[in-house]
Amino acid sequence: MEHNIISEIIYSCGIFNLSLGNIIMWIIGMTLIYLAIAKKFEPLLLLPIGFGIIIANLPLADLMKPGEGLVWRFYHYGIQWEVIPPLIFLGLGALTDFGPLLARPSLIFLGAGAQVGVYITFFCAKLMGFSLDEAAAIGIIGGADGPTTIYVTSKLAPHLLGSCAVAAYSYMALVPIIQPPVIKLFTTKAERQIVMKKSRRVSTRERIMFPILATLVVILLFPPSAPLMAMFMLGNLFRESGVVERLSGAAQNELMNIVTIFLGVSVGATMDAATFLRPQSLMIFFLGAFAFASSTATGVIVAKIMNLFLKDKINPMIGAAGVSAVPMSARVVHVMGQEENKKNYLLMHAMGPNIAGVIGTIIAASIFIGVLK
Amino acid sequence: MIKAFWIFVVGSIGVFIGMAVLYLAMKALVLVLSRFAGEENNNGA
Repeated sequence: MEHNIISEIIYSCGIFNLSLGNIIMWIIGMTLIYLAIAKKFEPLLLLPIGFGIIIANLPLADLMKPGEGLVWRFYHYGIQWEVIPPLIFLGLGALTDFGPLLARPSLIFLGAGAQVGVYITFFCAKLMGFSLDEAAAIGIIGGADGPTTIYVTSKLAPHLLGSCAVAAYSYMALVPIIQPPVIKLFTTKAERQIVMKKSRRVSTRERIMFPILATLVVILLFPPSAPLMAMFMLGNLFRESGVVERLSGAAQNELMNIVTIFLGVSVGATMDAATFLRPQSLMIFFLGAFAFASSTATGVIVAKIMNLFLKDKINPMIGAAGVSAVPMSARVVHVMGQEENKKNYLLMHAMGPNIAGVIGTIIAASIFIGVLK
Repeated sequence: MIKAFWIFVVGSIGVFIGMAVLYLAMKALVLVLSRFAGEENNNGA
């Protein structure tokens, strides 16, 4: 009798149920926390993701047990119910200034150009043996947009959610390392030195009308984009209307911060040892880097093609900002422009394709969901 | 694999078509608003 009670107590202790896989996952979680704190790699996401990984790999804690676990509830009602990614987009919309895009609407095509890399990666992933749904989730990493990656992956390949989200956010932090060599490979020195004309001033009316117009156009053409697009543009309308500063502030700050916590912890908690420690995860990380590089390349190539037809040439480096990664990739382009020509201020020019890239990624995601779901 | 190829082709073109429509809508918006602004200016003058 006493023997049974003692053995039950022993076997109900997590420590006696620990596996090597759990310990490896703790190390991965701690590495992400280290990168977030020491290297400032996307700390708002990688820190809660890292912690989520650790707590999801505590034996018998059952935090991700369907129907019971605390973190499972965050995951189920937040991500599986498709609540959190659209709310993040509400905040992003409230933070986004569409002025640089409205000032020069043709830059929108650079946002489309970068999405070609998404589809190239999708095709490569399929060639490497992933299913169509999995390949779509991997391809969308190239859009360099975390919430969209999470949204698509949770719909099409939820078992890859952790790997795809970590790859997306990690590579976003590595944009200053990944993009410059690709940009240099596809441009000449003379092209990198092109100085762009100052953009026109955008009126308040244009700024207010744009989110309504973009909502109508994009959702009418691509209905599956509705949750992300509608929230993105609503957030932007809050910002530009100038009459709901409290709502705009709440969307940008309190709401965004709260949902970011739930998003990070739940995404991290999907990475238990059994689903993550597979060769597949390494392939996703490889393809994620390829996705970022190919999207950068196709954005630059489209910029070069546009220059064949434009009277006022654009600096093709701004095509690289067509991957979303707002505002990191625009900053990278600006710094590269300054290195080539001190008088070259590309930041605001690069913000145009950068914002267009967000819309482009939403459309690319919508096409994947529409075709595959 | 054939389906993947078609998604690759149609998806790449589809994003451009979507963005092209949005581009035209933006140009139309700018045109219309500048016209109204012009009328306002004329009236003001």
